[in-house]
Amino acid sequence: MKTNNLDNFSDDRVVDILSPRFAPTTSLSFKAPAPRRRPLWQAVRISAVAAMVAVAVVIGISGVQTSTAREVVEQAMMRLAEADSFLVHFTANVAESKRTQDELYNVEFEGTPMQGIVEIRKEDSKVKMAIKWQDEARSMELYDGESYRRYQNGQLVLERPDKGIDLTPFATIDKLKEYALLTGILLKFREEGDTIIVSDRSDKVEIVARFSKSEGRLLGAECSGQYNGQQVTVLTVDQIDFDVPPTE
Amino acid sequence: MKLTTENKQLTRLAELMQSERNDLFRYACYRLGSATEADDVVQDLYLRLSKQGARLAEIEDLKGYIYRSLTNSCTSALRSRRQFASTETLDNLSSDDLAPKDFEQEFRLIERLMALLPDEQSEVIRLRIYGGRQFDEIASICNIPLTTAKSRFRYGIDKLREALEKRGLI
Repeated sequence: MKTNNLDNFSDDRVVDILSPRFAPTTSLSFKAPAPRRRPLWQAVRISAVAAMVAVAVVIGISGVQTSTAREVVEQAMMRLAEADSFLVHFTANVAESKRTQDELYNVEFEGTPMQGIVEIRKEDSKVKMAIKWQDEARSMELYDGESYRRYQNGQLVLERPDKGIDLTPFATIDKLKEYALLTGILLKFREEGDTIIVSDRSDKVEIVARFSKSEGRLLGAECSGQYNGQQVTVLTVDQIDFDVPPTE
Repeated sequence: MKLTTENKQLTRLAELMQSERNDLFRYACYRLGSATEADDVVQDLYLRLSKQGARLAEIEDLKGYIYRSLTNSCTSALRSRRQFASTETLDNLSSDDLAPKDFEQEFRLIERLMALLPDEQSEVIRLRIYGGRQFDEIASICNIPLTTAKSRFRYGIDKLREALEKRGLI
C-alpha cells in the first residue's frame, strides 16, 4: 500500500510502529532572567553556592553502591535536604566590596585568598545562614530570613532587610538544574570509571566536584575561570560537616 | 522597569523554549537514546541561544532556528561519541521487536529502522514524529520546499513499509 494522503498518516502501520510509546518526560523549565545584568562576581558567587552543594552531596555518600552518577548524587542530595545544619569550609579569592550595602567581600580573580565557613541551619520553616571570615576583624555575615547583619570585632556594624537564602532549589537535582539554568549555569553529572564528576561550564566560571564512587570520598572540588588567558581558581571547598551544633 | 531589547528577546526565547520543551526533549531523546543526554542538550541549547541576547531579534523564525540548532546539537553529540547509527540490520528482527516494552527497546527498534534510510529522509521523519512539527515547519527547519519535506517523509515511510513487508513483519 502506498501512502497517498501526505498529511494524514494516522492510520499508517509504519507510522504507528515508529510512534513513541515510552517517551521519557522532562522537568525542564525555562524562565526569562530578571531584567538586570549579572556582574562577574555575582556569577561566581552563585556558582560558589552551587559548588558547595555539589561538594556537599558528594561528601554525603559513603559505601553506597548504586548504578548511575545521577542516582548516587540524588541519594546524597536527600541527605543534604534532610540535614538540620551543615558547615562548608572554603577558601576563596576575595576583595572588599566597594558598595557597603552589598556583602562584605566579592569573589574576584584578582582577590586575596581567604578562608571562611558557611554555616546553614534550618530552624522551623526558616533557613539561617552565616558566613564567618577568617580576617583580622573576625567578620561575620548573618542572614536570618528577614535581615542581613554584619558583625566585626563582635560589634554589629550593618543591618538591612534581606530575605536570605532559599534552599528549595537544592532539594532535588531537577530543582537545582532549573535554578542553575536561570543563572546561566549548566550542571552535568557524569561517570568516568570510579570517579563521579559534577561539573558546570558557563562562559565565565567552571565548577568541578570530583569524588570516588567506591570509597565515597571527595577527591577535589573547585570553582575556576579564565582570566588573562589563564585558568584561575577562585574558590575551593575543603570540607563539609553535617548536623553540627551551633558554633555561637 | 522598562525592558531592554535584550530582555525582550530573552523573554521571547524563554517563552518559546517553555512552550516547545516537551517536543524538543522528545526529539532529542529519540535522537540520542538517553533522557539525561537529551536534558543536557536542550539546556545547553537554551544557554547558547541566551548568549545571543539582543541579536535574537534578527532571527525572524526563532522556533525554526531553535529546532535547526537542536538537530545540529544532537548530530554533534552523536559525533562526539562516534555513534552515528545502529549497525544492526532488520535481518533478525522479529514481530516481538515491533512491540517494545520500554524506552530502550523502543529506541533500538527505531534506530534500526532509521538506519535503512538516507539521513535527509530520517531527519524529516524524526522532526515529524518525535519533534511534532508540521510539514511547513519542517520545510523551514531543513531549508527545503514544502513538497520536498512531504515527499521525503513519504519515501521514507514507504521504504520502511517495503522492508517490513518483505520480512513478513507487517
